[in-house]
Amino acid sequence: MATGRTGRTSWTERNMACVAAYNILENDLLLNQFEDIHVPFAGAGSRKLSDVCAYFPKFPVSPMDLRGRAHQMARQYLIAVVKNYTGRKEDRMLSAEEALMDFTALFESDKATLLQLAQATDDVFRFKDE
Amino acid sequence: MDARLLTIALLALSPAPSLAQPAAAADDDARRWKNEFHLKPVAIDSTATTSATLGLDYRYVGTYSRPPLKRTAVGADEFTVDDFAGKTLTYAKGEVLANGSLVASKAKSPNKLIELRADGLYVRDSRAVTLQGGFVGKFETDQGLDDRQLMYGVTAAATRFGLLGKRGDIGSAILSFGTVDPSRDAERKRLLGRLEAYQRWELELTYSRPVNGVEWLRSIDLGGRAFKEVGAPDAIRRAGLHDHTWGVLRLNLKQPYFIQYSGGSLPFDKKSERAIKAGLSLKLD
Repeated sequence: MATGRTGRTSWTERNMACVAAYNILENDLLLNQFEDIHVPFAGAGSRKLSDVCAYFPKFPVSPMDLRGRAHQMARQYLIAVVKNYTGRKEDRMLSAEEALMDFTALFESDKATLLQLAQATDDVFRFKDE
Repeated sequence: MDARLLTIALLALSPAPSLAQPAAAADDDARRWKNEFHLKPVAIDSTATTSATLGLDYRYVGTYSRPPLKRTAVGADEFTVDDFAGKTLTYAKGEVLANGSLVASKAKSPNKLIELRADGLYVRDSRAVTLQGGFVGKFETDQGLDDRQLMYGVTAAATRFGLLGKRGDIGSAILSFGTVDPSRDAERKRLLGRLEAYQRWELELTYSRPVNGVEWLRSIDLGGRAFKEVGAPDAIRRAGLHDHTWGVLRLNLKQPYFIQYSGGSLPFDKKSERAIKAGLSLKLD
């Protein structure tokens, strides 16, 4: 599974997966989920997606609502990775549907951090720095 | 707005990761079955009370998902944009949910409804919209477990990123229709003399958007729920129990602060209540 190799990525500007995860969520022309003045890159790795991203509702909602939002975010995120960074796969046998499900689970969890998103991105995609 | 609402002092400690216990699971199982349980201490002041009260917001979600029906891009060296933009993802899932607030005094809760929910859904996800539809069953009760009812029926949801054209905004609409079977409902029994099953529509709308270029404000959440009984008897209509509407507006300020205003009524509420939560979120881990 895409998130199986967690723990090997540290949050640093030298890691392209971290840069990609942060930029895609922050950039006003991409997912536009937060402003850098509120969530600076340094230290952003430990921040939870549910805390810093606008897509995650801060009041209780139906699980159908949260699941739908997570699906839409996962799809937009993966499109942004391929368009702006890389489409090269780490595992040739990984399907697009499996990647979508894995990233949906991340965006649906209120515990997932930006670092975990970067780790999952690093697990699925081969960046130029690798 | 009630003048007293403007003098609210409330502290909400949220979320409290040390209280949250996602179940540990092997990677393969995690994709199929997932548990999450969260507790959040809150203080609430509302038009229902003369003083603030302490409580716990709780949420449990258990989800079982079937693997996707299709597997594309297998064996390819690269993903293409079309792999994620042009293809539809379909699968089935089931889940159970418990959601609500426990308060020190049930009379001081702004809304009485406690829900335990189970559903079985078919999910069809595309870039344009995520659709979900299927069967839902709910056990609904009030804070004191005095009134109770079952609801079972069908439900459908649609969610879209970029809903109103703002980059980063997202919203959902959920429509349910079903039979409500009250086992205990003192007010309804007093009005009708007996308890009988009836049918009910339920609509839930939510919307969230980021706010750009404002240092003190990060994002806005909006939500609303509406319940309407079909063919309600006159006595129920006269008592105003045939429909309920409830709304919430939350301004997510510079972290960790927020202001939240909610108003309206939910099933088991005899009248509309308004409440403000103004506080902060603290990381406890």
